[in-house]
Amino acid sequence: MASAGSGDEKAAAAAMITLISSDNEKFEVTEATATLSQTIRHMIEDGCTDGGVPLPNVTSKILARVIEYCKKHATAAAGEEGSSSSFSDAAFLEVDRAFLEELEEFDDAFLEVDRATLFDLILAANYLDIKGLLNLTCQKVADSVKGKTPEQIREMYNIVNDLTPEEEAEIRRETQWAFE
Amino acid sequence: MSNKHRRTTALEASTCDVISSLPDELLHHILSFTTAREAVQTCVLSMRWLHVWQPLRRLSIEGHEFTSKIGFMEFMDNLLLRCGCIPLDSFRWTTTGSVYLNDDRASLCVSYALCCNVRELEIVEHHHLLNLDHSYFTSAHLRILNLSGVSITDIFIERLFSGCPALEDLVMVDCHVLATKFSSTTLKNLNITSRSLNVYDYDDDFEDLVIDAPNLISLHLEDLPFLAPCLVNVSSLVTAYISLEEESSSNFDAKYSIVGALSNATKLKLLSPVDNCDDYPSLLNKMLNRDLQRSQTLNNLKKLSVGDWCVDGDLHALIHLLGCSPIIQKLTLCLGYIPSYHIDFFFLNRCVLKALRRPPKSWSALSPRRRLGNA
Repeated sequence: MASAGSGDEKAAAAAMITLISSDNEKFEVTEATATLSQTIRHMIEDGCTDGGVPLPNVTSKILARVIEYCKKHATAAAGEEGSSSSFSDAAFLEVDRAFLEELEEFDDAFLEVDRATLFDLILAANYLDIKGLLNLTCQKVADSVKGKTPEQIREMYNIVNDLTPEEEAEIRRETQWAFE
Repeated sequence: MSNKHRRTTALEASTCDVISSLPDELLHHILSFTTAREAVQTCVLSMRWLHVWQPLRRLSIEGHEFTSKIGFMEFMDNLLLRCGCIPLDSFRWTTTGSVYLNDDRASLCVSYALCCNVRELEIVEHHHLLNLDHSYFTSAHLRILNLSGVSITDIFIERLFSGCPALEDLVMVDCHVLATKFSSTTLKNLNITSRSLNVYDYDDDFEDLVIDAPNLISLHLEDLPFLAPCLVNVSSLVTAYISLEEESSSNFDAKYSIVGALSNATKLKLLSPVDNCDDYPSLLNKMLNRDLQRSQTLNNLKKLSVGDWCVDGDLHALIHLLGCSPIIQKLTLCLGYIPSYHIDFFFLNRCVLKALRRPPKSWSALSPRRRLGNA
């Protein structure tokens, strides 16, 4: 993506924000896309986004994915606002069902990533404070452990069981009510 | 249990345990999407996970995860005991045919949740009709209450509205609604749906369902046996879905209005299923039509869905309704039992165009419950 700078596009650039990943790659996004992140929203409000927003905790690979998510969902938010400008509470808005389905398909496809990327997305969503993305990714992890035994979960996530057999038996005894 | 994982092998080092390295707040967030039982079970994963589940702020207890009523009750008791009085965001439980809580225990769970300043409480009871002790409903924090399979009396509603001044959303699905007066200044969303209730549980008395909620934004009334909606003050209403049963009509008093009370709505869905097209137009349809004649302009109405009642022979009701809706964008006809050959679509289209003096952006006809084939 081209970085900001051409003087004749200053007006258009006013609504653009430059995000800088940990490996120093620059991403130019619209303010509407960027402000899905509460962290960036606050920085914009405080007027400290000139010269780009450094995001030292997010790699370019993950930032590109996060921006992809934000772009899609920012369009959705804009669509909702357009349909009912007088009323802001999204819970009561009628959103086009086809559009919702499309968004759901996007989210499903978006989550088709390896486990390492999924956890990186969780950390990025948390750091950037993007509620929708955090819920989406955490839900995916929660779904993956549903109906699994502790042994299966350990195996799935490479969790090293550092409890002695005696300790584990003791814990199971104390929480027997949850294993009945 | 074998302890073979104790020594870290080269392979394990290369595939490291990322999930355990997440900060507690993120693990809590992940566990908030699991059931409480699944969350508690993570305590045996490793030392790291021993206490992770404990400060959970969202508790969801699913009856289907338990094989016996006793196991369910024991789980609930232990869970609440271990959780202590940590503030809760949400608390919900569901039951099955054999796994459920009796009235006293259910009331105690409600009392516990409200003591923990719960903001969202949901009870889905499938087994029997739950009679909750209304005296527990005192909370400055409760915002959302979803009930299913609960007996709703007038005193319950009265207590709920006076004891929980922050309540905004009240959803009652398949509840035994005996209450006839819903009067609240804080309520924003009210949903009463009684799809699968046995009408024979009710006395044959028809009652007015008086709704006086000036700050209500969304109203959904569906299949209310023996209750006739009387909207007293719903002046803030933006979206309304009202599906009237034939049984609701007998007591429909001329002094109340439905359409007339919805003057500020932007989205309206008014259905009244016709059980048998021989009876059509029914008493209820006549009354809705009468109500319509007295209604004022629907200045904000953008989306309108109407059922059979609106599509009578001369389309008078529909034309009138469109005439009072200056900015309407979308019209949907939800036809139940009126066969489409009863409707002259050419005439309908002409009437719609005439009433609007411009075409609506879109309109469509749906026949979700059509029994008769197209002619």
